[in-house]
Amino acid sequence: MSEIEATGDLLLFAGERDKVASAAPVTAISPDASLVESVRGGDTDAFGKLYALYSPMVHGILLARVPRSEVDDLVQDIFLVALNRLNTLRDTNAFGGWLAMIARNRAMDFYRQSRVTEELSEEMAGRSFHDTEAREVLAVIRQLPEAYRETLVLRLVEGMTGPEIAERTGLKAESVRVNLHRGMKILRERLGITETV
Amino acid sequence: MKDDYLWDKSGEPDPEIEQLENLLGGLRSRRTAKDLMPAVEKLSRKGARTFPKWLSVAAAVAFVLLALGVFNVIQRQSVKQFSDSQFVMLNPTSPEPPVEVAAPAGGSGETSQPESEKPLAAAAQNEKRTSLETRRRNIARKREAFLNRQEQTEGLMAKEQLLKALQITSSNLDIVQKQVQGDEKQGPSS
Repeated sequence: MSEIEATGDLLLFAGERDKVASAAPVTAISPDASLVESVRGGDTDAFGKLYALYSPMVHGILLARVPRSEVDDLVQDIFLVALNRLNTLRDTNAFGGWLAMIARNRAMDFYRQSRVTEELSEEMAGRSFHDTEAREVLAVIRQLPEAYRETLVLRLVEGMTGPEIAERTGLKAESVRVNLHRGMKILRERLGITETV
Repeated sequence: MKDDYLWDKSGEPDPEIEQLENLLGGLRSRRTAKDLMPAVEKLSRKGARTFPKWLSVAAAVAFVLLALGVFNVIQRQSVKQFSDSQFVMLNPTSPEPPVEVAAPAGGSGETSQPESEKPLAAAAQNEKRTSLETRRRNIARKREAFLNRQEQTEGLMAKEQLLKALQITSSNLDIVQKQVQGDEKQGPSS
């Protein structure tokens, strides 16, 4: 069931992403968009605020895809790349969706470039019991379909709410809600947790 | 409602979700924007200081084209001056004296000459005609030789011009390459 539905969601996901990228200019400028404008003008404080707002999203997107040991460096890389390319962003209101797309592409590039090294680094890092358990749960989440795993990591690891996920990534709230509930249902099944109603 | 807790953390908390949140929350990033600030400031300074790469390349190409254009104009002018002066040197006198056209027999010009002088005059005319033809041939040969020399000169000048243009192009490309390499060294590792 889940694979087919997840594929459908992924298509929806991609379609929405395109919509975000080609969205018509919005009349009201969001506070985030004005931050983006300030960063374009060379304001480094505004960049700090933008980083604080969006780094959990970028971190979550990467954590759902690449080894944890690589994630922090990749987050910083992505922000530097985004800063470098910020002038190419036409609609500043679509910053979140644009940044999320850069993060997803960077994760794909990572696997194209260094598949062998990530396997080793993941195994070599020894951690406490709590951390090991967290890694095991994360490994289960990573086996879920892409749309579910990204939303669940953003919700459970980064602590973002559904509306925040929708706002930051540029996805529709309904899609995020569906992905959260379906993903959580599959995660419970795989972890052997019985849902209490 | 527990669904609301999963959605926006409102309503009655789901203990399993809370447990997962506590467990997985430890995987969050601890880095802040401060760790990135030196690189950001460097990038901002660089962005304010340098031209975009494409602009540098376009400027170099435009410069090379301009240089080629200027050389072309100079070459044309100098070749023209050179050929004019050479032609004048090879033909210092007026081109050719007017050729006397032999009047038809019984014409008014011959009636004044005595009959005994007629063969002499005809021979002299023939001689004059042959000398004129020889002179014409010589001029044609000289002109041909001059044109060959002119073509050679033009060829040499074109060669020199091409070499100079290539030197300028290569030096400009060197500059652009150094600039691009410098940008890449200073840029972020992505």
